[in-house]
Parts: sequence; C-alpha cells; structure tokens
Amino acid sequence: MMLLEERPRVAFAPHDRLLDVARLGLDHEEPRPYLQDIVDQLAGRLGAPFALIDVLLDGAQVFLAGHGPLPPWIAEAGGTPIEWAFCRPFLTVRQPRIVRDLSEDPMWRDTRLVKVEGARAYIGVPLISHRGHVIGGLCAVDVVPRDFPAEAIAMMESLATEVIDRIESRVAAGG
Amino acid sequence: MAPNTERPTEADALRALAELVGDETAAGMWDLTVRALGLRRPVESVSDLRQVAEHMMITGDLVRVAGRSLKVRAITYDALSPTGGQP
Repeated sequence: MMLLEERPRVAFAPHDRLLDVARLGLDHEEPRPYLQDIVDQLAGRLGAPFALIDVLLDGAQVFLAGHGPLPPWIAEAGGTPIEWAFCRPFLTVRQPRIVRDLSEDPMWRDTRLVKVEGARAYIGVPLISHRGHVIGGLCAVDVVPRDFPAEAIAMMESLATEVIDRIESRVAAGG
Repeated sequence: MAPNTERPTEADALRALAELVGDETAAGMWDLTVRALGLRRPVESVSDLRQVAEHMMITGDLVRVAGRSLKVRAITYDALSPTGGQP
C-alpha cells in the first residue's frame, strides 16, 4: 500500500549538513524546554494556532518544540516524513517563505497535513547553523487561509537566530 | 594517572568495539570500514587506525540520523495505515 509518498531522491541531503545536525544532537529524542518560549512567543505575535521548530533529517522532519495541539500520530512520531515538511524547500532555497493557502499550492495541496489535518497558511524562515548549514526551519501554521504582517519575516529571522544561538551554546557548553 | 601510551592495535580496537556492540557486529563493522577505506587487514599503522576511527565516527553519526528518520516514517505508517502497519 502506498501510504507515504515515494521519498524524494534529490541531492538535498549532503553528508556535511546531516553531520552538522548530528553534531548539534538534533536527531536525539529529548525534550527541549529551553526553546518553548520561542514558539509560544511566535504563535502569540502572529495570532497563529501552531508554531514549530523543525529539524530536517534525511527522510523525516522532527520537532524540537511546538505550540498548539499536534495530531496524535505526529506527537507519537515526533515528526513527519520529510515529503510533508513545509520547511523542506529551505534545503534548496534559503529564503523565508509564505504560503497564503496551502490547499491551493500544488506542492502541498495533496499532502495529509493539508487534506486531512487542515493546515492552510504557512510562514517560515530557515534555521542556519553557525557552520552555515540549513538544519531546519522556524514556522507558524494557521488553519485558515491568511496573510501575515509585513514585519513578520524580520521578527521570525530574529527568533531563528535566537534558536540557533541557544542550541549552539548548549553544545559548546557540553550539552 | 599516567596516560596509556602503548601503541594502539587493531586487536585492541576490535576488542573494545566488541564490548560495546558484540563480536559479530564489531567484526562486520570493522571489515566494512577497512574495505571502504581501501585498507587491508590487519590495520597496522597508527595513521590508518586513525582513518578507521574517523570513518566509524562519521558513519555512526549518519546511522543515528538515518535511524531517527526511519523511526518517524515507520511510526507514521503504522499510525495511519488501516491495517495498523501489518502487511
């Protein structure tokens, strides 16, 4: 049965990037309370029901922190297959992204997160490690199509810098 | 405590690895790593042992990342499949 889409086989998982993810310990399954206030703050400032910090592995995205109730299957897995990761385009284009209505976007409209779970609007910025690799994204998702304030991107880029600084400083301090 | 300055050997390295992952896995990993690097067993020079060590460390990191990905995909399939993930 074809439940998951065929895993994208493109050159977006160079080893150096994944080794950087491993260096930062971001593949580990562990709570990261030191990131929670950032997603809470993001959701509050945008008035969005969901805000997430995600890490892009080779075949999946995993969540480091989240605001808003995740569907049980996502909470159990701690992430989703990478083909459903709205932040996946950051692996090829390091630019902030806004999608007003995911259900009208050919890249996302047929994914489970949109068709079944009701994700509609997305705004995200890439998370770039101190070694220069895209390790994931900071994003907010709404369940209705919407625009985001003009100043949102700058605010999110500042929060993304804070996310990386907190992660890197913990690694530098030995965990 | 004085540092152990004895020359590291393949046998010592294999023994240490086997204590962590078992004899069979250790032997298999060692063989594959040595072959991947184009070296021959027994690995004798210290610089070759260092190459083996670095290769194993990189492989270990990548295996860990791939393992986490696979776990997410397997749980997702299991949770969403009408057959509960059974074939």
